[in-house]
Amino acid sequence: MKRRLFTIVLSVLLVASVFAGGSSESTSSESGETVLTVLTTAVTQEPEGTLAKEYIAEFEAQHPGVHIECTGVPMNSALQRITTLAASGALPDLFVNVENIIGTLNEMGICEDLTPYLSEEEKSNIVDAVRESCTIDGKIIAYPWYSAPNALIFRTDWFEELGIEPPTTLEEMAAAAQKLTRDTNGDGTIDTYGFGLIGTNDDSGATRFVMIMRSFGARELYFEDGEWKTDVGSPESIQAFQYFADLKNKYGVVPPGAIENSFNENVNLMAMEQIGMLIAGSNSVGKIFNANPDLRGKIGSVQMPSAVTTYTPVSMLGWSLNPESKNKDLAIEFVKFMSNKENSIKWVETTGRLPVMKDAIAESDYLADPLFDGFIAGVENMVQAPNAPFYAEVKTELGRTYQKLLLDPTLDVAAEVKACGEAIQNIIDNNT
Amino acid sequence: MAKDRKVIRHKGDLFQSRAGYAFISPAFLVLVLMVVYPLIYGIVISFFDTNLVNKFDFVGLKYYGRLIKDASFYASLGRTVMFTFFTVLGRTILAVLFANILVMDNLPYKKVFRAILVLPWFFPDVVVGMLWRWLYNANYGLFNFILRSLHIIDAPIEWLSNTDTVMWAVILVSIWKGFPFMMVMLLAALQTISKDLYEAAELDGCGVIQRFLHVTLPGIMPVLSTTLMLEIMWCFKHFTLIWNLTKGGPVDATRVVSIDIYRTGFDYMRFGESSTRAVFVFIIIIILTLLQKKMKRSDV
Repeated sequence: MKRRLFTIVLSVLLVASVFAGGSSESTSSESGETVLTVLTTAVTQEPEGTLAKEYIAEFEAQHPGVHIECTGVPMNSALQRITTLAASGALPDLFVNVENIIGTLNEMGICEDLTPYLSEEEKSNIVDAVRESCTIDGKIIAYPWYSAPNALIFRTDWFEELGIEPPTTLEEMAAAAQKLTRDTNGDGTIDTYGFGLIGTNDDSGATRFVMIMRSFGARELYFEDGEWKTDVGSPESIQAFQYFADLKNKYGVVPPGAIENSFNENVNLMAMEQIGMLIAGSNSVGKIFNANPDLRGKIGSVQMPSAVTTYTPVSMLGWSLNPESKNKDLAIEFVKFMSNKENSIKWVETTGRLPVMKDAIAESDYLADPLFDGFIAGVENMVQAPNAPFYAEVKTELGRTYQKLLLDPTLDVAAEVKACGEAIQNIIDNNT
Repeated sequence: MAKDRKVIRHKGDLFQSRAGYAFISPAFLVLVLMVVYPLIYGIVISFFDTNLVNKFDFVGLKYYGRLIKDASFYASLGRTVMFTFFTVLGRTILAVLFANILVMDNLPYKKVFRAILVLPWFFPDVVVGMLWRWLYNANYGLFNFILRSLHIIDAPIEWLSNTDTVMWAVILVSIWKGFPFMMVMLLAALQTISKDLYEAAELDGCGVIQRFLHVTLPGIMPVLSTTLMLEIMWCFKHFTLIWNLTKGGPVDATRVVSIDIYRTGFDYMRFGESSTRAVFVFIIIIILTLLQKKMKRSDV
């Protein structure tokens, strides 16, 4: 009998051990403190991580009994992480949201409508284009923290040396790139290139290509008359692809390995003084200065040059609130704290990432530096990127086509772009 | 009395078997939760249009129908077969070669060589991917630096940007990363072959090649065939190294089936369609497993 009892107890213990473990959903710890769970990209990079932790410590000091449990996620895998957390019912109270995944996350129903939590004054303090990019069907589903709009950054000293004016059109940009591509030490090998082309088929590459294509007046995806449409395949889009490919194949102004050179590699090339121009966000400048302090004072920015128009996507990063959160008011208080005027100003001064609140932009002396001219101009003209859940797939299709054209100069550009347009139309049809 | 003893023994058997079931129940539950459930769940969602959170629209065999007509899927299968074939071939050649060298009695610094040769296998795939990305880099990569320093090339070779070279570049890394496992297995097999057989073969006038074909190869064949099959299955669904080197590019040149599955699911949020592809690969792997079992039985 004893043996049987022992066996049963042991079996129960073994089975229990299989299921042993804590729940990830925690609203209060054993010590009775309130725990706010946060998933953010900020803590995975520097100098953002250190400053974000400072802000968190300050918030905790102001709110005794509150603990912010912060988990880091790299931007490129944020969507995957959020999806798996949501699917397993372990979504944190607050999670990162950016404009290229906001449509997908909204479709999953995991973003609380923040409109009731914000006063009219708070809503109108958000930069208009940023607020629009955070809004779907009239609901604000993300509270913005900062933005990093892309502009054309360039070597001011090289431009002065060669007597080149900062480009305002894509034609001027190509001409400037040709002048900047040179053999500076006379060894017969080109050692500086005009333009850092991001040819990888990822979000970084496709976003920059879209900026060029939209400058030609062709939209990769837009919502009109109740349906999603694309201009890819139009003469304007063909011109854009041709221009992009020509930078490598005709003008030879991009460094070797353009197709494998992602954003980080191009930032390194700029820091290593191998490229003269790059389409990049304001935060990249900080990275370049960190890698090569000698470049301080030698980099300027202009708004994205145009062909027939100019296009700067919002590039907002913000927070979304889990509708299942048990600490909604505290979470809202936290995100407002992170974006308040003082913190936003300190944030841009440390990280180069721009504020999204009008009061912070108006009062930041740091932004008066000519270095930020192009980015500030971009902020004033930012346009919301499409928030279709299938936008990532459309971008991959664009990436596939520009890689083909970069690799093989003999291809018929018009035929390839038209095929790309058909593929995008298929994506639209399959998803609507 | 004897009848009573029999009854008691039956009760004991029953208790023993119940206790047995109770003891294996945790392992059984783990197996069901960690292996059987995900497998069945994966198959089930291949019949749904789902984002795994709030959308579960039943679509029946729609994705299977679409997949059968999808030329890009067959292209990715073709690339997978190519990657698998050449990776396993390369690993096998290197593994057989090094295992035969390491088994030599008179080899100096045998332990040092063995440790060095096993090193690539210890590195995580992500680290290997990043390391070789740097080695291959067109601007500051070591390979281009050496080739240019030796005046073998004038312009850098874009190893990972060229659709003609990229798959071979990836295969080379995969061979380098994976051959030590096979080498260790073969080394163990080689050490079980009796030296008497070699001596007898030598007395019979067999040369090196004949000794390898008639003594070594039959001796390592049971291990080799199992390892080969494992390698084929691993390579067929390999993801990490290729993803870290090329993310399937450029222009899909290294988009093998595992990357296709990942992108469809996690980049485009079409988990149902992604599962359909995974089910296809699962079937292929099952067929390979059955083939291997059949081969083993015929060996016996």
